[in-house]
Amino acid sequence: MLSRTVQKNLFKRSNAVSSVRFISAFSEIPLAPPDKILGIAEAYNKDSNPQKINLGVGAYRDDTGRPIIFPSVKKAEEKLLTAETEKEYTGIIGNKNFQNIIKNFIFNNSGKDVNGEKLIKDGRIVSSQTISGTGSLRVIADFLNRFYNTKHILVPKPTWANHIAVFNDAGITSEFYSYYDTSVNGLDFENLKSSLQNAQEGSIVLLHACCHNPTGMDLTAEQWDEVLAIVQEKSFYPLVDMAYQGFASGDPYKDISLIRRLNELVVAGNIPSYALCQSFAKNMGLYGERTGSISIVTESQEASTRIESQLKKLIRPMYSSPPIHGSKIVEQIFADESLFQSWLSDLNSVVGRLNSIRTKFYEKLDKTNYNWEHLNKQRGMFVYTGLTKEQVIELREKYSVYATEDGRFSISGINESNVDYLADAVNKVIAK
Amino acid sequence: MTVTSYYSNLPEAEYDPIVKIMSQYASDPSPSKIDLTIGVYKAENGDSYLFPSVAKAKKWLHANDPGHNYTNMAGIPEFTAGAREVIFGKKSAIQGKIASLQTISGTGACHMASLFLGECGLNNYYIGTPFWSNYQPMLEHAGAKVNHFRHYNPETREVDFESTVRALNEAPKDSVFLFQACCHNPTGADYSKKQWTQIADIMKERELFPFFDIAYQGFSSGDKDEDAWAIRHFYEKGLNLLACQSFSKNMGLYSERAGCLHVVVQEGVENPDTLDRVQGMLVTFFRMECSFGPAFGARIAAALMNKPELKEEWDQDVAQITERLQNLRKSVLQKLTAMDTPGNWDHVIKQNGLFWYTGLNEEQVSRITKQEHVYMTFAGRVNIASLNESNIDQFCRSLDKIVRETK
Ligand SMILES: Cc1ncc(COP(=O)(O)O)c(C=O)c1O
Ligand SMILES: Cc1ncc(COP(=O)(O)O)c(C=O)c1O
Repeated sequence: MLSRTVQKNLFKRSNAVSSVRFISAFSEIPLAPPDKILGIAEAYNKDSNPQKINLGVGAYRDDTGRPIIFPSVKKAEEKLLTAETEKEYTGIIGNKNFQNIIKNFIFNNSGKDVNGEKLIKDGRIVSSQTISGTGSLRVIADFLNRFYNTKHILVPKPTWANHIAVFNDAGITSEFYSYYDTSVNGLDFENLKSSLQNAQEGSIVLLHACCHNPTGMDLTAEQWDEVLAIVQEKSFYPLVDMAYQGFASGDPYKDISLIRRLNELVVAGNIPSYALCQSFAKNMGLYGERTGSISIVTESQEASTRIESQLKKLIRPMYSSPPIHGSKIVEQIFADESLFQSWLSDLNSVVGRLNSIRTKFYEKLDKTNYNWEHLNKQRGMFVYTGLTKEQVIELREKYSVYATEDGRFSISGINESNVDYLADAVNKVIAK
Repeated sequence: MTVTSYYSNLPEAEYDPIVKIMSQYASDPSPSKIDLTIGVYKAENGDSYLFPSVAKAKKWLHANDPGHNYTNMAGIPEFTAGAREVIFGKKSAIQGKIASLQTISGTGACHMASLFLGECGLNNYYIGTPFWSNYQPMLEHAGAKVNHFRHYNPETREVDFESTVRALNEAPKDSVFLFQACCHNPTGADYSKKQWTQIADIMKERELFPFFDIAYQGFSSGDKDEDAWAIRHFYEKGLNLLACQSFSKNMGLYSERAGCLHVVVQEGVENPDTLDRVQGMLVTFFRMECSFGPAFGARIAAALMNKPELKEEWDQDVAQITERLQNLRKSVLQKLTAMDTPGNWDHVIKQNGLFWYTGLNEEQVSRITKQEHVYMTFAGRVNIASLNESNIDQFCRSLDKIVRETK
């Protein structure tokens, strides 16, 4: 196993061992820590128990446990197959049409957000297609590292495992703010506020737009108001990560209330600028196609021009331009009203299944000595059970139920045919 | 200081000069304007070109739809294995000495390569001038130091081997030499096998690290194996090296971003652990930037590399493109010879690949653009593939005229 310091060095490129000899250079490379989710998948694959359940997957599965292709996506691809006659490069930040789709769909809420509409009209939003959500986080972190005055970001505790690594990789250090209280399985709102209040002024602050990963616990409208008041007071730079738009309510329009609030604050002159990282991985099921975007809301059209040019300058040496298969699917879907409507309904039914199986699971859990109420408050692809590491290990070893040790269950892995077995296993583990 | 004041000081970044030329071209009203700037292959009628083999692979993929799930962190296995074989050949590809990572095409491969080498403590680079404009910012982005030598000698219009050897002999141990394996962009001037052999010997002796960029494999000889000769030679010589591979050009997959980084770890067979570490490091770095490579392009490429009937067709597509490029080169030479254009123009057929480095000076380039509406890069680089029946005569006449005017 790796010592902690070696592991740390791994992420700090600038401190690379400079004296390694060429011939032996490679052998001095430390072994990278195994990816937790992949480790689970591997152990799961090796397990011969026919009732085994994999709750580690970060992607949607249908009621038979299989991945799906959104029917609307399949239709868009059919159209593409005949419409697309070449594959020449798109722009460094993608094409205008894709950028406009992002602006209009998210910031203008397709005509329902007057503030967003004004920001677009005033040329105050710069959008770029990116390598899905991860790539957008990486690029914005690098951008902020270059052009923003503080080099550290406040992230909720807990947060998506890769956030800290991605930011660190770009030279931005992370600091936790309180978010969730495992002892009560709920939002730790008082500490959330006080830890933000005590943080350094001008920090970047990471906000999950909806379906917080891993807890599934989002802020209420009133709570957002309070947090955004602190953001203004402390001059934080808001960085919004939106990887699950649509998974909270089933409707992508309803899940962007945070964006609407921020737009309003920007138009009112209370927040000068913020950034959004967005991904179509989950809500169009485009995971492997790497389709997402970054948007920066700027102070003026003139600032937008400069920021856009710097974004291009940053991206060009990293990967030149983004991949277009996924973005063309997005463009097809947005170009055709009926296709667009069928996408909304595809998404709605995906979320419907997640919610109904969540409810079913909840119903089957033994509540005599354990409060499972938090399950009903959580949203998105995950159930953050609150089970301890020991309980998760017992689930794995005794019942072939595979989940990450933080007790996060991917609802995707649960379906009509295994929900009883799963609830039963959990009941036995907590009854001890 | 708030973000407001900070962004206000943010300067506007300069655009790539090629973008400027392309926009000048776009706004030129002349009906006979010719655009020879851009770096993509064009069909005979001047249109964008979709490889017939790719068109078939698209249909096949659609009929056998694998969906859009997350793939493997190191890339789609059939893709990386196939990609490895295309560069290193069947035998070496499976010897257990190569770690491979699917990347965001060739640019992404070079970027990851420089980060990886930085982690190994290799930060001192040498590149031959002139070079692909993205190298310098890319290496600087990774915090590397960049030194230059002369790749190309404008007088002889061939590689400047003397300058190369001098740099190799002067570079401190552990320096990285970034070479293009074939079809050098922008000069089209490649080292001969004999020269590569000498380079490999010096590098081995002096413990230098070869970094190969191979973005046009197949466009030099028409045969992809032949075009990978240099890399295979270095591999056989027992050198650790890395190769950055792009399928943008030789599959025409530009915007699908299909590419691969291969790191040769010669001790991989005796110490599989070292190979695992290298592989693990590549995946870790990539995870922090992208998580996964894009699936679609890699699946198309994998089909072309692994399905025998498609592979054969792809080989033919590449051979045909190369033949067309070579014929266009011959035709340019014939026409210039027929007009008795002052100067020696043999280099048009000696150079390889998509580009002809004409040797026109800045003034000549500026004149041919302004007076003749022929657009090329400021350095006088011409995309051969953009020439065709309808414009080649005009191009050669324009060239002839400008050369005479400025004699
Ligand atoms: C919170 C969060 N942000 C971003 C991402 C990025 O995903 P992708 O790069 O696949 O778009 C994920 C994926 O799991 C996520 O959970
Ligand atoms: C020399 C060279 N290397 C690498 C590339 C990378 O191209 P891509 O990122 O499209 O694979 C190019 C493209 O123009 C090139 O000319």
